[in-house]
Amino acid sequence: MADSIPYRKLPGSRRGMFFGSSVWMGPDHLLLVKSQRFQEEYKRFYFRDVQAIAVADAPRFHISSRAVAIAALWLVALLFTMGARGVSATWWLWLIAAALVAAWAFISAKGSCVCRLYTAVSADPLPSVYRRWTAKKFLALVEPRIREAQAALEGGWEEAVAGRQVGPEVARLPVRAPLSLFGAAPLAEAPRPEGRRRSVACFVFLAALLGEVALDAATLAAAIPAAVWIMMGLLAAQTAAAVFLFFQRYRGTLRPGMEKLALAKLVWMLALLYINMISAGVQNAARGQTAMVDQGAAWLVPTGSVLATADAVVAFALCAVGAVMTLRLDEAEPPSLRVT
Amino acid sequence: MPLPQSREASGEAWCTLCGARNRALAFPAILTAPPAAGGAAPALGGEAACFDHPNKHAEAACRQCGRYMCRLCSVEFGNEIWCPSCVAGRSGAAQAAHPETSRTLYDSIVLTLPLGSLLVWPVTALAAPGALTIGAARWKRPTSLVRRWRWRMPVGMAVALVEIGLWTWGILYLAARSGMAGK
Repeated sequence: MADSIPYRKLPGSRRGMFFGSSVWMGPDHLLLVKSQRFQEEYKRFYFRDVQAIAVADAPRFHISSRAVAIAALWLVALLFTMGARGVSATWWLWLIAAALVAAWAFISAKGSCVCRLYTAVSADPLPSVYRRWTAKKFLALVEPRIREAQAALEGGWEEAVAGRQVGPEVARLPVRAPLSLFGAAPLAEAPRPEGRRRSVACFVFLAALLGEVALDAATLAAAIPAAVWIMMGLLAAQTAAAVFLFFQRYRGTLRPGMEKLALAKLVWMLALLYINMISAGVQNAARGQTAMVDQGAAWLVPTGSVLATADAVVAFALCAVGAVMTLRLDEAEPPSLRVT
Repeated sequence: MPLPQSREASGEAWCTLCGARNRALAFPAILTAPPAAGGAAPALGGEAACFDHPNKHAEAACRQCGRYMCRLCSVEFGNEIWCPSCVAGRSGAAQAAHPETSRTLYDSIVLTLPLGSLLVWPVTALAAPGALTIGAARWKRPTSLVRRWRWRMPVGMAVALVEIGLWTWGILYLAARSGMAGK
């Protein structure tokens, strides 16, 4: 029966490596869909129950699967241009990459927001609405439907709701600062959200990434005798730190974010392994050799200037994002609606 | 307390602490009284009483089974009222009041298993038959509530079949070659 309900996709979708979210509009309700790759969770908000929708400007540094796909395409293009010895094309690619990263950082910092929907018993964030222009389009579609379902709010409602609280009791507790929407008096200090923002494993992971960047840069400049062994040590440190990050996230002692970076790094390691093996196979075939020397764990170490550069860029990008996540102060949370 | 002029005009306000811009849309539901806890009135002599709470005044009858219910027990959904046991048991029309809250996406599993296992290709020997088995067993299971396309399941099964075919061909080829070498 539920399948017969026609849903219309609303603007905004959040697609991560493993988690995603979107909001859909039904005949009399909004459907919040949270997907965990192989499972979807649904939450319905009936138009007649929605008390308020709040949108607060806040930085959102989200790496979507679309961004990952663009990065993968860029890497493939880079490999092709380097292979074809197209130096000017390579420079153009680096320029495009710098522009894309700068645009992403600017939009994430200045063009993002947090959207939250309030009913009498819930105050749910809408993860898919995380860009300002998306929020604008979302509100333009949703607001008329809610107003249609509820009678028009008479003027002077501020007096009518004076002293009234919006949303459930727990949602009204401000998360970081006493953020009062309409300039009301500051509220009492609220408990901090669970989990730390940083741990020793975070710093080990970031330090190993930074070491990898430095080693890649050094090997590009000059031959270093023990570079392979140092790199393998750094990769081992990253893997161990990643395991600790997963464990800490599972235990809930670490806030989300870093474990995704660790996962991205592990995926990149795996990709590097295959790229190394394939390129070695191609080179062997070009030389007319059929047997390939098994290099064991050394397959994980980038070989050649192209892969070393790409590895340095990836490690630097992950390190920069990780440093921002680890070292920044707590970001602004959705406002706690309280009209006084 | 008077609100800032900026909010009156555009629905926007700036946080007085961090300066962040906020926009809030308020709807009339904000004015409705919060649900009263335990607000069921006591039943007087001769009055209909709640099925589960005999000392409480009955305020509605279940649309499905007809039981009388107090305000606490009545489950209102889509202009209809049901009793908790009919909703919990999803009996008859009360199924509508028990909407799904989650679904397992078997079609995504069937598609991801054979494709994802290509990253570590020897795993396809297990992943492909696994995907095929899951696909055959869950073929009729509903997919996502919002996605209308059902291409993932057949495509995933087709990829799994191709992988199984390649494995079979590889094993047969190796067996034939070792047989020829033995002769």
